[in-house]
Amino acid sequence: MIKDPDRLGDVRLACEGDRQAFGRLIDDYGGLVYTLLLRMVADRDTAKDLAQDTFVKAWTRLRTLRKHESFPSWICSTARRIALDHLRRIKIRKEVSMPEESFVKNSNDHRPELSAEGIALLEQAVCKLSERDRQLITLAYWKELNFADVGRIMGIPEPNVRVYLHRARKRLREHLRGYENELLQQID
Amino acid sequence: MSSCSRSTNVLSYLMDELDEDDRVLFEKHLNGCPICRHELMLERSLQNGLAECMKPDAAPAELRLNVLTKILTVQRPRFPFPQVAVTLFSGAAVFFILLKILSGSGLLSKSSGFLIDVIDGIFAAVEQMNSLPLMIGAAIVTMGIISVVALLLPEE
Repeated sequence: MIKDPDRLGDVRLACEGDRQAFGRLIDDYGGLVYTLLLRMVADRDTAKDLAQDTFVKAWTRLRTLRKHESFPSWICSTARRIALDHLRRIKIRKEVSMPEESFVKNSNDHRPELSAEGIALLEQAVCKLSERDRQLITLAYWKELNFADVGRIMGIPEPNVRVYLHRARKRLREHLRGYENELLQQID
Repeated sequence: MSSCSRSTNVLSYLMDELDEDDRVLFEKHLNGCPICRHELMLERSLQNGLAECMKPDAAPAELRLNVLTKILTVQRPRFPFPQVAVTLFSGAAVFFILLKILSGSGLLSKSSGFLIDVIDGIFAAVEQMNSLPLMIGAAIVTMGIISVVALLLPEE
């Protein structure tokens, strides 16, 4: 949910057709959309193309957005639908697996709280999760979204988000078994 | 480290899913159980690590420029179809039904002026249709006209 009045103003202006305001929304939410798509399609170039499609489609349908403060979950839902369509089209949804290097961030990313080893351990474990668990964990840990938003994006009721997230976290722990103490030393 | 049967509650505790009584009981248990305290520390570390690890990547550098260039050539409907079209059509239908009821109850007089003449004309046309498929067809054509008009309207 958007609480910042400037951002809300940009959504309102964009709904009215202001392209510059829409550009600012791309700056604010482009990373969110791109990251979600990347975790779904596991390919950076495809994720870039789909992020572009997402924002173009959003522009054409922005006037249907009733609650301006819901823009983040609305744009993520649009991105998710576009990614699912893409995966359905290329018929590899079942087979798609995340290469372990896909999550490795750019070298200029700053992660003061995590060492490189800690990041690598967690990211490799997340890579081993199912597509749905990856989406869920990706969305659930974004500060911009609450569990209700995550439920709307994934098309599941809010209470189920907690249940599925709980299960996904358990599966993640399974993938981290044997490395737990190492992780504990790496993270704060 | 050995195990504790209550360590399965750690994640629920951390995700604030235990009810008040269970939470208090579990906190008491935590005080005396080093296994669950260790588990809690691990889960908390994992939670913090995930929050850090799942931070969004930066948007691709060219995304804004590409999108803004592309939307220059994209036609945006003047109003959100089909919502507005459906609303307009539903409103017209309700209005028409109300007129029909008023007409049937004799509240509308044929001597009420030009508007009543127009309404009478519409009633007569509908009565002449005298067929449900024909009326449905007329409704679909009306919706079609509204949608075509909506799509043809320039954005700005």
